[in-house]
Amino acid sequence: MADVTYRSVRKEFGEVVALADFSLQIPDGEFVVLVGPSGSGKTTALRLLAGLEAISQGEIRVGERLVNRVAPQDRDIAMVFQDYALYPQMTVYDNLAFGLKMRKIPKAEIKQRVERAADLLDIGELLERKPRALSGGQRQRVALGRALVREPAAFLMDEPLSNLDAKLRVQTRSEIKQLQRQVGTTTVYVTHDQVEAMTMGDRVAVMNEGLLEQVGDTRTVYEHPANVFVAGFIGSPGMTFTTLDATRNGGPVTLSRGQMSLVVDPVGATGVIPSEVMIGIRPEHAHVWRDGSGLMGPVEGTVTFVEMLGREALLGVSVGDDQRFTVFADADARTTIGDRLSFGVERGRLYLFDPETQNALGVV
Amino acid sequence: MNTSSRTTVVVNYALLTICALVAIYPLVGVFLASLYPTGPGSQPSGFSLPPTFAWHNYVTAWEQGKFASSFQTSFFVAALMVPASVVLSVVAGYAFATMRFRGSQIIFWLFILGLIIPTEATIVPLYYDVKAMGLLDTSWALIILETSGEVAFGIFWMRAAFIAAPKSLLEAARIDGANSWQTLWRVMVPFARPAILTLTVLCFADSWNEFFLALVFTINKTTAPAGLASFSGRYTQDIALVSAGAVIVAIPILIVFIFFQREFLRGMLTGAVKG
Repeated sequence: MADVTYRSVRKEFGEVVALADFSLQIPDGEFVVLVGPSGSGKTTALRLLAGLEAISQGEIRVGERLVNRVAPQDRDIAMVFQDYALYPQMTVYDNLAFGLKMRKIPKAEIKQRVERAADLLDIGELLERKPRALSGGQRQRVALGRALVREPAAFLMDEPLSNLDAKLRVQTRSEIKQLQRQVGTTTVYVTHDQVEAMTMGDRVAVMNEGLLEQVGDTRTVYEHPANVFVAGFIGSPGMTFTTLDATRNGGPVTLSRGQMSLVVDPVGATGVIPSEVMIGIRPEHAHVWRDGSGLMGPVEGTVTFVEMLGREALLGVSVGDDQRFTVFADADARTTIGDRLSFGVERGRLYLFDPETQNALGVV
Repeated sequence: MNTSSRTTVVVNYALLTICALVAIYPLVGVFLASLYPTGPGSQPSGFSLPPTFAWHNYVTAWEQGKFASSFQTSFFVAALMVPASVVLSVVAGYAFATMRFRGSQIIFWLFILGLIIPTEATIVPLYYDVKAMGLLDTSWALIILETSGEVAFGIFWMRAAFIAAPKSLLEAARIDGANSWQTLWRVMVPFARPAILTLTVLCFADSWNEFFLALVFTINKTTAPAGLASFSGRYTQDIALVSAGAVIVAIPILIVFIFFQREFLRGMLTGAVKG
């Protein structure tokens, strides 16, 4: 077990910069999730750590050891692939044992490690089967087992849940998290699913277009996003944005444009609010206006969609020509498309961003 | 089943039947011709049934064609050519499919050139090369020439088979500590087993059926197909005996295909349907 360090890592594929100046320190035993959309560089970062791609610039260390030019098999890492990459002609036992055989581990120890991993993952009765006789969930556990038996310094996981159905995904992600806590191995986990990232990671590294946008624990990334991208990517449903003009009225600041107007206390803002500011509202912080207590508003608009989620409903509200918001409502609210609706935003939950740099300016 | 799908089924079966008949017709014709009595009085023609069934033609053909010795030569050539071709094709196909090295594209296209250029175009210089090596009228001439010809196709075939393997399989083996040879023999060869078996059957068929090279490079030490030429005189040809000889020559390849047909078809269809 060891820590993992990326220092100013850059990866170019010809003219394309897949990863630019990527620096991240992962302490021993931590579960870090690299999350971002397709093309963000998260898989590239993982593959560079695995040694499956050559680094263009920078340093990668596993523990104290610089591994830039070290072959994948000598980096003391184990990887779980998106498609599991199980050897199709080998039994589950042989799949788990293969890496140990290549390292000339004695047979008795191989047997011990395989059985221990099989117990941990509850795949003991599958050891004589071949991968084609396994379900998706079982294959996934075998892939995890193959990494586990190696007892590496770090686990690398490349979207291991993406081929599972939704229900199995939810079940398996908690199993993986539990397993990692049990073995305490440093884990670097890649996913495009921000729900997975938020539920599994000790820390989350949000990536976009080869850049590391923000890294922090889940609460920080959710409550204090560094910029518009992180704010919009993290959270489901996502944050909605619009640009308003800011006018100072003594203490409070009025943010308004078109039919929308909000009076805010600028205490939570970092610095002076510029004359034009982008605001972000999370749907879970926007509520139907009743008596307005604890809310800023009201903002009036027309309902454009209604999504029933079971115990609550999601309403799309259009304010003016080009301002769209998502609001949570009670499931028994009799709101239909076309209705006029007023909503408010919880105090201290209105996110401010600089419209030019897209950086966060605080929460008011 | 509705009318349009029933019509489709009927049309499909009709087309398949016609194609099967077109394929089988010459074979049945040869078989029937082989049972005609020999001699100038009776000459088989088209698809007609023989007046009497002369099964002894097979014995006569076997003796006259000296098939005992030519079968031995054919088996010997195939026994060496097939493993050599398959092994070389597997190893080279793996290199082309999974490794990046300087000149790989050019070398690969040179092998493809070997597929495109017909043997007839190179037979004259090949003859002088074989003669200079002192290998005329030996099985080794056929083994070397057939292997080199087969490897061109084999590399093309195996490269395609290995390219179809998921890249993650290779990467997993690499991370597990397998070197290139271990990855090839322990991971990729089992994965590509249907394709390798298909290549083996094709190599055997090509070797067994090779007529032109045997005709040019061997006289006494000839192969079974070339032995059929002994049934043709300068002006005459005993159709019945030639046909009997052709059936005899075809039997081993039929047996091989019957045993390996499932694997053969699986290998041919690998990659046709996304698994």
